[in-house]
Amino acid sequence: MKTFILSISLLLSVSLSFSQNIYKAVQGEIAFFSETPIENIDAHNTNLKALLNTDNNEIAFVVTNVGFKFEKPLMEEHFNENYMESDKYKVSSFKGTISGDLIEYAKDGEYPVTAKGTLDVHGVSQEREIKGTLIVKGGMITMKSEFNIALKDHKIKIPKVVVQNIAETVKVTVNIDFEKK
Amino acid sequence: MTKPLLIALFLLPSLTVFSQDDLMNMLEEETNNEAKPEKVTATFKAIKLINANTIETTKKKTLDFRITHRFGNMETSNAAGKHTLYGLDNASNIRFSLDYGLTDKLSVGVGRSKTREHIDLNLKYRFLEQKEKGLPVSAAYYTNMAISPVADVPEDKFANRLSYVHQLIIASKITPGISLEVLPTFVHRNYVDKSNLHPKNNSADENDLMALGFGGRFKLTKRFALVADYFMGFSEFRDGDNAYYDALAVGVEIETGGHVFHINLSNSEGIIENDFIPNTRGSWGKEEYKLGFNISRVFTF
Repeated sequence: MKTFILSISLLLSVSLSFSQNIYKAVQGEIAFFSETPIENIDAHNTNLKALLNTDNNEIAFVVTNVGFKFEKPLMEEHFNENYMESDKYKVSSFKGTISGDLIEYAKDGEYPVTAKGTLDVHGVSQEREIKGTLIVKGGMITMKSEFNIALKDHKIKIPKVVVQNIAETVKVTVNIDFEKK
Repeated sequence: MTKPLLIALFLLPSLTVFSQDDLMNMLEEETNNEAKPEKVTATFKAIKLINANTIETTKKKTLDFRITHRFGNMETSNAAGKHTLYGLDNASNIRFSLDYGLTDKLSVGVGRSKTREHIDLNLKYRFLEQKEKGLPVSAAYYTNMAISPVADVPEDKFANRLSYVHQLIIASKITPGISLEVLPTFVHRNYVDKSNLHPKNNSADENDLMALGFGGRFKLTKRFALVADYFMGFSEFRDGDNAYYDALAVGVEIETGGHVFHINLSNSEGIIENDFIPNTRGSWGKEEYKLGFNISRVFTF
C-alpha cells in the first residue's frame, strides 16, 4: 500500500510539473485609437505582461495604464488625470480562455480564435468575447486582436466641452509575441 | 503515523504546481517583483499658479501661450472702486508670454509686461521628480533676466535696466487633490533708488532681495481647483509703514481641454518676480486687491 501511494504521488508530481506549457510575452504592444472629426488620439503601450497556458488555453494580460504614450504630452496628462485615473486604477487587464480546439501549438499555422473572459478597465469588469488570431511560427506564438471598448461601459466620463474631441468607442489593437517559458 | 506524513510529503510538489495554475496570480507576482516606483505626474496643471511658478515645465515641443491680466484695485467700499466698476476700467498689468519645451524637463520663455515695460527671458529646469514610493518631492530651478526698456533710465546706463531672479521650486503632490510648494527666491536689481529712506527705521532700498514663496492647489473636482500663493519678503525697507506689502493671491483654476483658466484676486500688480517681490504696494486691508485672470493655451508641434 505504502509503495503504491508513493509511486502514484511521485508520478503525479512529475507529470504535472512537466505538463505546464506556459508561454510568456517577450514583446508586445497594446494601442488604442479614438477618432473624431476634430481630433484623433493614438496611444501605444509596450509596458505589458501576458501569459498563455497552451494546456488549458487560458490567457491573461496586464498593462500598466501610465505606460500609454501619446503624441501630445497634454493628452497623456489628461488621460491619466481625468479619464483613466491611473493613480487609482494602475492597470488594465484581461483574463479568459481562448476557444482553441483546433489549435495545434506544435504546428506552424494561423488560427482564428475567440477569447472569452473578463476585461478590467478603469476598475470596471466586463464579460467579453473578443475575436483574434493566433499565429504559430517556429515555436513562437503571436496573438493579434482588434476590438472596441465603449467608454461608458467602463464608467469613463467625457465632459461636454471635449465631447467632440474624444470618441465614445475606442478601437483597441493588441499584438503580442509569446515564447515558451 | 508515518503513512500520512509520507503521503503529504509526496503530494507537496504536485500541490505547488497546482497553485501556479492561476495565470493572473503569476502575472501579479511578476509585476510586483519588478515594480519600479512610478513618477508622480501633474503636480500642477500649468507652469504658473497665480504669481508663483510651479514645478511643471512646458513639455518637449509644446508651446504655451499665456495672457496674464490684472485689473485695477477693487476698493469695493469707496468711490474709486465704484467709479471704475471695481477696477475693471483699469489694467494695472498685462503680460503676454510664450514658453517652449526644449526637453520634457527644460523650458525657455519670453514675456512682456506692462509694468516697467519689462521684457523677461526665462529658463526653468526640473531636476528632481517625485516618485510614488520613493522621493517625496519634485524640484526645479527657475531663473530670468528682465530688461526694462523705459524711456528714461537712471544715469542713462543699459545695465541699470536689468534685473535677475533665481528661484528654487520644491513641490509635493501630497494627495491626488492637494499639491503644495515652497519657493526660496532671490531677486537682484542692478539699480535701486537709495535716496528715499524708510520713515521709521531709516533703512534704504536694497539691490538684493530674498523672499520665500508658498503655493498650493486644492482640487475640488477633476477640473476645478482652488489655488493660492504668497511671497514672504525679508527686507527691512519693505513693510506696511513704508506702504510695501507681501504679495498674496487667491483664485480658482478651471481646466477645459487644452486651456487652463485662472480667475484670481491679488494685491500685486507685478506678474513676474522682478516686479511683485520688490514693488507690491497694494494692501489687502485697504481693499487694494485686483481681479485678474490667466489664460493658458498649449500648442503641440
